[in-house]
Amino acid sequence: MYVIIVGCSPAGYHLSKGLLASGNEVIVIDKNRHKCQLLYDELGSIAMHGDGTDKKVLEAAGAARTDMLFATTRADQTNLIACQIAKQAFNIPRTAATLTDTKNEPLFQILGVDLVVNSTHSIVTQFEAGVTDKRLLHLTDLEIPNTELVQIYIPEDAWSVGKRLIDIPMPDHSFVSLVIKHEILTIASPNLIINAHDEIIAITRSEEEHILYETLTGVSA
Amino acid sequence: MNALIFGCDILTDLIIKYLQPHGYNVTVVAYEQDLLIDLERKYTLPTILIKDHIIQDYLQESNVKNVDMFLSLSTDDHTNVMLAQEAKHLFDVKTVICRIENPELNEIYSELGLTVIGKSDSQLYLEITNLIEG
Repeated sequence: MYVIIVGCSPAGYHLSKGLLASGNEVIVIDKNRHKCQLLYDELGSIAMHGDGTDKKVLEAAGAARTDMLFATTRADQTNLIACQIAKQAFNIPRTAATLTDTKNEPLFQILGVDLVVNSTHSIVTQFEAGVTDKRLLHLTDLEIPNTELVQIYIPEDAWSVGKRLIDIPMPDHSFVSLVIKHEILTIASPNLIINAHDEIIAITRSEEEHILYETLTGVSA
Repeated sequence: MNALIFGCDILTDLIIKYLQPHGYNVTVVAYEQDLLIDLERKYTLPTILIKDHIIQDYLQESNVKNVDMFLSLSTDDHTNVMLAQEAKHLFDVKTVICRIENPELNEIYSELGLTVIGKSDSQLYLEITNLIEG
């Protein structure tokens, strides 16, 4: 696979290393000449100095034969534009972008960015998991708009304890996929009984996650 | 009718001068505090100063959902493009005009359905040199 990475941010740098290691052909475009030199010194001629939102630069980078473009600069607007040019001017089949302002995510999805990596969201999720005692965790956003994978911890006094999954009235767009019992993954079959300290892995819609949490625990999210 | 302008320079000033007599209530949202104060004094209109990088919050504060026209007129092509697309696709603003100085971006976003304006320095240079040469 031939991949263009726009922006030699930490994400762009590590992505390029990972893609190279797995046998892909990679080029990294960055406006900062010093960053390009550092990348060249470490990884060879995969660095290209230039503006990744400049059509001529993308053309010189081989956009016409590219399978995927990743935009990983720190500016959401630059990432969006790089992905839109990739599709509009070069018909690059897949585009991906990192995002810092969570509120821009719906726009990126509407405008056809195939994969949106919300770095702020990831950081918040990790803090939630590692630092706070919050019992509803966002694991990831799915490609379907407003749809996410969540993990819900079942406390001892939860309403659902002792009940079968089939007897728990789920919100319309929420589906339990897996249940972690004593660190063992279990398929969420209808007759599976929910116990205290179980971790529920479910697909839900963003606007429904608090209802799902309340349904399973009896407590408002 | 309500119009919201992003960006604050001489072009903004000229557009306000045109819109207000045509019955538009104009709001300006921008980074340039001193220029916004000048506009407030000159035209008696609301302005919103952007203080951090999360611009979408300021668009919502500017009541972008209820404007008839959004003009993305700053000198930053990339931010103009993103905000214009937000106004058009997320907030369903009826008329959206986007300033893009880069001729290639200008062409691409015209193809993508944005109403774009803008003259690059190179275009202006050609016009000026043509005038000088007669």
